[in-house]
Amino acid sequence: MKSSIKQKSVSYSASLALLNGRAGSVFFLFLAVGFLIIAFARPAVLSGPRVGVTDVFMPVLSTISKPFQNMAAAVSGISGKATLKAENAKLHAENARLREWYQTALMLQAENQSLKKLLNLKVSTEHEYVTARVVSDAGNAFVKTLLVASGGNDGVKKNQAVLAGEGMIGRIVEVGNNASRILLLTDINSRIPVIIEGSNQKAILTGDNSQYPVLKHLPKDSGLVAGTRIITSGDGGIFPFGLPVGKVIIDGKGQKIIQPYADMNRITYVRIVDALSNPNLIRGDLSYSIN
Amino acid sequence: MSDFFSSQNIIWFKCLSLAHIFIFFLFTLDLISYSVSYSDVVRPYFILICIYFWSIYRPSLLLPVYVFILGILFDFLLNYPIGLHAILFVVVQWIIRDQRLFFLGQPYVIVWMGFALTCFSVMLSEWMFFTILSDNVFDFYGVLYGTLISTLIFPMITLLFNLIYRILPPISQSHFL
Repeated sequence: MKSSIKQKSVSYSASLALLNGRAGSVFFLFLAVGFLIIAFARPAVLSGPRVGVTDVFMPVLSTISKPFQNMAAAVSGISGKATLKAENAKLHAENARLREWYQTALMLQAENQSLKKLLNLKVSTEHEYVTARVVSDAGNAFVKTLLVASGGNDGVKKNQAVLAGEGMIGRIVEVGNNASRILLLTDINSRIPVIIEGSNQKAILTGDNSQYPVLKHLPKDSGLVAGTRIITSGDGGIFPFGLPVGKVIIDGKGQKIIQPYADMNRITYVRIVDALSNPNLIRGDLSYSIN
Repeated sequence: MSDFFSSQNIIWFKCLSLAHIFIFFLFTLDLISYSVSYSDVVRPYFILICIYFWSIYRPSLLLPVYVFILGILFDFLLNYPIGLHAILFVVVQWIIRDQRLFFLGQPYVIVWMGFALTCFSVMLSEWMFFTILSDNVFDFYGVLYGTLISTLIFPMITLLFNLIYRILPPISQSHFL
C-alpha cells in the first residue's frame, strides 16, 4: 500500500515538475498565442465562451463589488454633507427655473399631441426599462466596457441602448443569462448615430477611449457652438430617436468635443431601454430629450 | 493512506487553500467596479502583484497552467482579446521565476523596484498592443498612473502574502505543492 502511494507521489512530482518547468511555460505560451490568433481570425468562436464565463462569474463579482460600491456611496454622502448648504441654495434657484420650464413643457406637450393627432402620426411614446447594477468595469484605459447583473433572463437584448443618470452611456454588446456587457460610448470601437439638436445635422459620435468622444462625418460649416445638445438620431434602427447623449464643449486646443451627460466613472445603476419594433415610426418623439 | 490524511496535511491543505483564496480575491479586485472617478485608469494591478511575489517566493503555488487560466479569465471578463493577458502573465512568471535566485539574495527594496519595472513593462506592452491594433495613440498617463499606484500598494499586499507564506508547508514535506 505504502509503495503504491510512493509511486503515485513520484509520478505526481514528475508531472508537477513538467508543468512547473520551462516546458510548461513554453507550452502555455504557445497555447495563449493560439487563442490570440483565434480571437483575431475568428472572434465569433470565442464570444460564446466569453458570455458563459461572464455568467458563471457574475454572482462572485456581484457579491464582491457590493461592499465597495456601498463604501463609495457612503464616502460620497459624507463629502456631500460638507457642500450641502451651497448645493441647497443652488437647487432652490434651479427649482424655480425648472418650474418655469415645466409650464413650457406642458404647453409644448399639449401642442405636440394635438399636432400628432392632426397628422395621424403613429408613434411609440412609451419605452420600457430594465434597471441593472454595474458589477465590473474595465481595468484600464484600453477597453471601456461595463458588466451589469442583468441578462437574457431579465429581457435584456443585444444592441439595446443604455442610460445612466442624465444621458446615454453606451449599448449592450453581449448578453448572457444573468449578465450583459455594455460598450461605453467612450470606447474606441463605439459608433453612435447622433443628431445635433436645433440644426438637424447628422453625425457619428465616435469614442477614442478618452472621456470626451468626438463627432465624425460632420460638415465644417456645421456651426457647432459650446452647449449644443447632442441626441441619438435613430438612424440604422438600433437606438430610439432622441436619447440625450451629451453637449458640445470646447477643449483647451479650441477643438469641439462632446461631454457625455452621464459621468462614466461613477456609474452604479443603469437603465437598459427596450428595442423598438419599428424604429421608423418614432421620429418626432422627443420624450427623452427633455432635460 | 492514513499518512496522506494526517492532521498535519489537512492543516497544510487549509493553508494552501487560504493562499489560493486570497489570490482569487485579489484577482476579482481587478475586475469589479468601484464606482469611483478615474478608477479605470488609477487602479492597482493586483493579479500582477500575486504573480510576481509567488514566482519569487513560492513558484509552485502559481504554476504556468494556473497563470495561463488567470490570464484567459482576465481577458474573458474584461473584454480583452483572448490570450493577450495569458501571454503577458505566462511570460512574466517565466522571467521572474528564472530570476528568483537573484531576487532572493537581494534586499526588499530591489524586489520592490523589480516589481515597478515589471508592472511598467506589462502596462507598456498593453499600451503598445492597443496603440498598434487601433492605430490610435492612447493616453500614456494611464500606464504611468497604473504603475505608480500598483508600486505604492505592493508593500501592503506583500505584507499579507508574507503572513500566508509563513504558514505554508515546506515544499519538501508537502504532498500538495
